[in-house]
Amino acid sequence: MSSSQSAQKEILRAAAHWYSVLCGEDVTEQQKREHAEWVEADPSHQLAWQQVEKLRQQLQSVPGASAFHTLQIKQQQGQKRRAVLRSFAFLAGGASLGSLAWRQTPVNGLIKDWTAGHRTVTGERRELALDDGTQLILNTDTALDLLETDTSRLVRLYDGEIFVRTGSGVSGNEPGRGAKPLQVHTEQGMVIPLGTVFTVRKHPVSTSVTVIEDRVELIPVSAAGQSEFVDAGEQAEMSSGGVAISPASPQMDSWTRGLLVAVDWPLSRLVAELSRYRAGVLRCDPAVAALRISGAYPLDDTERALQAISNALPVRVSRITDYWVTVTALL
Amino acid sequence: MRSSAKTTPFAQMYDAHHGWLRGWLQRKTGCSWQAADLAQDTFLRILTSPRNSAQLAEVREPRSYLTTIARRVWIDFVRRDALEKAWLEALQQQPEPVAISAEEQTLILETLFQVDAMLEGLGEKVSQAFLLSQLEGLRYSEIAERLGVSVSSVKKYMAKATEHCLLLMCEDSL
Repeated sequence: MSSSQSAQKEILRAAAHWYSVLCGEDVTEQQKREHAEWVEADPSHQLAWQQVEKLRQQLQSVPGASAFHTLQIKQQQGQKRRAVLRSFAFLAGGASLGSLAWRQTPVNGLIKDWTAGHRTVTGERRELALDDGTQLILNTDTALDLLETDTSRLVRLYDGEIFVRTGSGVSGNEPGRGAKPLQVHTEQGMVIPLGTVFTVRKHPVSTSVTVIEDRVELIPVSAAGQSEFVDAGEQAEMSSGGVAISPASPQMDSWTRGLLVAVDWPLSRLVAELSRYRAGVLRCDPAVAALRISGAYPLDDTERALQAISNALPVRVSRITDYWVTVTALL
Repeated sequence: MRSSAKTTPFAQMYDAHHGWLRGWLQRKTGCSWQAADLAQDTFLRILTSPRNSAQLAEVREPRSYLTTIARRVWIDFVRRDALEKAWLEALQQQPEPVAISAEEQTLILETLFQVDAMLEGLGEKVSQAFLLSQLEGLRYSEIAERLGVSVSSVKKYMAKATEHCLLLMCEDSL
């Protein structure tokens, strides 16, 4: 076993050597011929060269310059990262990465109360009523902290999605009748309501904001104080460096009523949205991803939603386990 | 979601230890939402790796087994997070805005994650030479100049990095 393994390693080493030759400048015809002879000499050589091809395809599938810079930047940050990992390995407790980064967030006024850890689990929806009448609804799999100071309220949204209706119809920047201005912070920036009703959803690298009534101001963290205004009927995609505004899709707040409304969506989007409300893995086979679908689906019963999808389209729901479900082509 | 009729070793482990693992992760990370995600990812990794699920029935101490895998999941999470931030920073440095769909971005990040993981442990010059050739498309002579080494060293670095990647790729597929 071990001798065949070391033989295999030798073959991989030879394949790597050939690759380093062929990537170089001035490759001679002689070298090309010798390489071809080496590959054809033995099936194990062919297998090894297939691995080289696989590696090359992988490297060519990414945009070279951005990919190179990404890995450069990450390497420079490697030391900091290792320090964090060490603290995880040896210290019990301690702050998470997210809260370390966010400790920098300036908060005006004294902190009166910090209510940490409002969280909904997958499939859960919960409403929080603040004492000034502000209504917060947490969608599935959402985590936030609520921070209250003498003069303001701050929602830190770590994950998931919230619906906000500010209290007494008072805008975020014009406190009155006991209402305090409210701000929502995410990793990507600040959301300041100048109106009353909007939703905020946190994605891995961006935050989307849909404004239902009035107006909202967005300030991305690394945009040097530059802000963008988003009006009712618009939605915005905020990354840490900027904001992109587009017309809002209809019914973006239908989840607050327990419904998912799709209007001519690709099936992959509908399945991805449904999977947010369901424990385990729910995916869409790429072969059927582009099928278009419209409809209203119950969020509290994703099984029924899946049933409705398989009635409407030529697809079936295939189950590997209860935790692993795929929507695939009907055979 | 729970099926009471048929219980696989996976379902048994999930039911018996998921809550405990989440608590353990919460103490480690100090954060309940992250703990919940990491716990879920840990079980998902066991479920999706044939090697792991084959081992399940033989695990004597499920909790120490789970924490071992959870540690790896956490390390990968931190790496992915760092890579994603680096990617965004790199995109912002591009002279012209690039339009990349969310799907493309996911695939690119996944590939970069794998490449980054493969190159870890190689010397700085070795991985630099490899990336400059394969991603930046530089010639060996240009790389040699940039790194201050000879062209034949660049070729050796290339062979070394490639061999390292091939070994890891084959290890995975065994």
